[in-house]
Amino acid sequence: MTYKYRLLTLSLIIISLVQLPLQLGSQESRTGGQAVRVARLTPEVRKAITDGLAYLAKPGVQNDDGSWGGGSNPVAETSLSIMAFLLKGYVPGRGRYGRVMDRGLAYLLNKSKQQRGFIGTPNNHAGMYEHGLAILALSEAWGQSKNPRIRNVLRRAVDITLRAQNKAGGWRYNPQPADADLSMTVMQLVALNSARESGIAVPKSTIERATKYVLSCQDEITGGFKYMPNTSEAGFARTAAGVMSLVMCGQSRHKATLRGLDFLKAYPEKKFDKGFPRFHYSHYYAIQAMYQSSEADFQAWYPKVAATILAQQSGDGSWSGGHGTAYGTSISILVLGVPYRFLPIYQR
Amino acid sequence: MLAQLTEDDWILRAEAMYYLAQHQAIEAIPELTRLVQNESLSSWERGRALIARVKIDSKESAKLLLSYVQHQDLELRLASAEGLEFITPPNFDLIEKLLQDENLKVKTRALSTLAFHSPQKALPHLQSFSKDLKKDQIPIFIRALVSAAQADHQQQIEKLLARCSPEESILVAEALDDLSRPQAIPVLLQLLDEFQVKDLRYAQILGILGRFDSQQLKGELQKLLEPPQDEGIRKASTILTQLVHLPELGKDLAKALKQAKNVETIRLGLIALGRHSMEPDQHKELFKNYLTHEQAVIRALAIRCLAHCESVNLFDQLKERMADSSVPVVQAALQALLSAPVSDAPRGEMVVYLEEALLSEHETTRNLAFKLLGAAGSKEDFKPAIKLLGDRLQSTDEDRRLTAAKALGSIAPDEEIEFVAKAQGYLANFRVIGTFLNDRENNGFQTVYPPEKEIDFEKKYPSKYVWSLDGRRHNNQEEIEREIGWSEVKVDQTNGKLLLALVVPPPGSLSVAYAVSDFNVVGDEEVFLSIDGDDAFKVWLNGEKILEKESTFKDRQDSIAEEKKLKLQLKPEWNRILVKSSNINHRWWVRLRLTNAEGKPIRVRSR
Repeated sequence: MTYKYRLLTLSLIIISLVQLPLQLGSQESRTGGQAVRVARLTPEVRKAITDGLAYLAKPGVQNDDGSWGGGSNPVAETSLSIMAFLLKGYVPGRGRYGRVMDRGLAYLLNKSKQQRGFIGTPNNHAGMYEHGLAILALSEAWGQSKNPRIRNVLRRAVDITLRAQNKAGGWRYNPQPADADLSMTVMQLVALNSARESGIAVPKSTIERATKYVLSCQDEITGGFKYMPNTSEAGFARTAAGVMSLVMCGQSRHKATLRGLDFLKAYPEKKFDKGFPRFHYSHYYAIQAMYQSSEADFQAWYPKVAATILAQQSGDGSWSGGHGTAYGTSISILVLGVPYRFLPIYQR
Repeated sequence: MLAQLTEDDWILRAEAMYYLAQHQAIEAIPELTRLVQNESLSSWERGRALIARVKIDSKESAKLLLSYVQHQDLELRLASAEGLEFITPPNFDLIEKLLQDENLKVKTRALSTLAFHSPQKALPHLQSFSKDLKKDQIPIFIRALVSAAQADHQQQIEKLLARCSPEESILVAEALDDLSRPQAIPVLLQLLDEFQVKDLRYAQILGILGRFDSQQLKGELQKLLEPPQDEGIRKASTILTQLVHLPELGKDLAKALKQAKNVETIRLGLIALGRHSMEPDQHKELFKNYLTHEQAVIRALAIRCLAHCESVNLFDQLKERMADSSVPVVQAALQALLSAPVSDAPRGEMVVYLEEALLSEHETTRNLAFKLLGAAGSKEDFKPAIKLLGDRLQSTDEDRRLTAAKALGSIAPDEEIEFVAKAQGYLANFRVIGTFLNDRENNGFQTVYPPEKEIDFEKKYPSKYVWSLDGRRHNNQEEIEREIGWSEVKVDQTNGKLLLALVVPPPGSLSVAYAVSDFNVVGDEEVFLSIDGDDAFKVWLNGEKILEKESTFKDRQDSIAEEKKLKLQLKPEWNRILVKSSNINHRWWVRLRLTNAEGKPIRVRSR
């Protein structure tokens, strides 16, 4: 599907959602060939997302320079926060949160300008994650923002990512083609796919090589995914990331994807506990993987993860997270809000 | 290294002196001075210490040298003469004193030092010395001539070299070792003529040449190639291969090589031109010409050179070499093609391309051809490959069969893998159910689960599993319930393995599964079953248990049980095999093969 066509589809979905009363029940509408099932968005979920966004937009939560978060990875928190607003259909420069989003985007664009195209925090293990998240946020925002700088910044950022792909097809901590790990490779793969969908040229061979790297991380015996091809055992978070990236690369019926999904499903129920290691990171990918997998898988998964997340929201609308409240809040919204599908990456 | 100067062994001390001087280790001066002055040491060693000290600190050493210029000991006077070469500005008075020395060795050494500092002052002495020069003075005298650097000395040097035996020639090279004057290069090149390339002394001279800058060597190498003569080409090629990166000489060498007839000359020239640093793409046409050279060694070398060219489609260029009369040439071509871009391979025509090699009577050639077919072949090659090689899947030679199966498996479309497995006699169609619970002690292997009591492919069963990825139950991990049923599975490995972990729900560790195959043997031959699997298996034929094998469990390693050629009592028409397989951790698979008494595969129909 071309980006233009996707936007058209999105518009139709948005229009239909505006026209249709958001009710509980099994009501469905069919627009642009997609079934929009609004029943999953319970009033509790909708309120939680609304409160969460309001929290993010509060003065003092967003920093003066337009960024979010007070930790060492403001680019990541800013990118996720922008995506949280996009998720519910808010657009930069317009409406209730237009100014807030514009300021966030300006922060990312300035980072790119200051760092010659690299957007992540330099000399930081999470720098390339941030760079990937920024590409993702900018790609999703591109077309909805009137800021013409986004396209140029995106091109430059994508170029840096393309040059950093190593021989095996993966990426790691630094924007150089040295070593690779699954987690970083999935981040870049998701970012590149999103950029590609938004109209930025990404060679098919780059995606194919990255896909090959992801596949090489699959554990032959369990079907789960490992951090690197020849290290450690498969884990839940890694598998969620691996499966999501394969689905995104059009490999949803690939044997490896199906085995990975089986691994996620067979994993004990503790995966839905609030204290589960890397809960947000895992479910950010897992929920998208389940959503893209099938309606039945999504229906079985979403209520459980949503219940855990809802129970953790604070009175001010925020969520705490391993990397601060901006991170916790934005990523919780991104998991809860998958059914909104206003983000192109959330479309089936 | 400083401490080594005080070792008891004089060899170790001499070694330390050499390296400390090379590295200008100023800290060594006090100990070197002590060694020079130590009269209990040999005069040779004291002389070496003196030279090392001068090399490190020539200014402060001048006074010290003064006391040894007229020393009664010959070795110390010789060392003084040598050491004066490093004193700047030169002390011509002392050099003159040494030129008057009664000993010819000392005088010659002093002359070399004088020539080094002032060729003009040395010229009259050089003429007088050459008249009654003794043979053992030739190396140092040549050093003096080289230092003086007069054009008319070249002829004199050549005459002197002609008087030298190989042993003396190497002394000449050693005398020139630390002389960085470019005039030494032609002398050293000439000295190479005395030795075979494999001779260590040849390498020693190359080592001395290697101390010169490549641009200093360039001019002399050009002279070697013009006019082109075998000896010059060989020498230049060797130096271009072993010593310097001078791609700009590639054209000169290629031009000279065209005139060469000697096989060794061509060989050395191709080796030099084929190096990556010589930009071999520039010479691809030359390499192509040698593909049809009468000597196989040259043809093989030309192939290797072409393999270094990025702009050459090797599949196009080497097509005719597939039918070469020389086995090493064919093998060189196959090796080169294995590294060539697969996109250059003739799509759908690889079997025709490789036909002779695939059918070769030489095992290495055949194996390389199969490997290449697997690497560069495509799905379109599968049918012709089966036509040509299908009978190899029936081979009783296991290596031969597996090599063919691997190659065919690499190019087979997914739906044909099963065919390749079946052609070898493997059972490839199963219905599988799992997982049932197992434990660290493999007790699940002896637990009777529903498929041992009834086989109903429509039925679902409750089962339990433990989320263990390493075959251990950590902290009394809970058992989790799930419903399981039979699923149809085809073997998707050309080696016939049914990878159970891939066809049952995860995690696969601490698990038991069952596989059923219904088959009908055509014909009335005796049928034998060979079976192997990881970790353990039981087999029932038509409801009767015929086999049970359990390997010794090895944690996180392959633990394979096997049974070869078990004779089966089959029913006419359809037979049913039920296999139970258990796993603790690591790989999990089972494989069943039906053969006749000779080991040839039995073809079966499955349902």
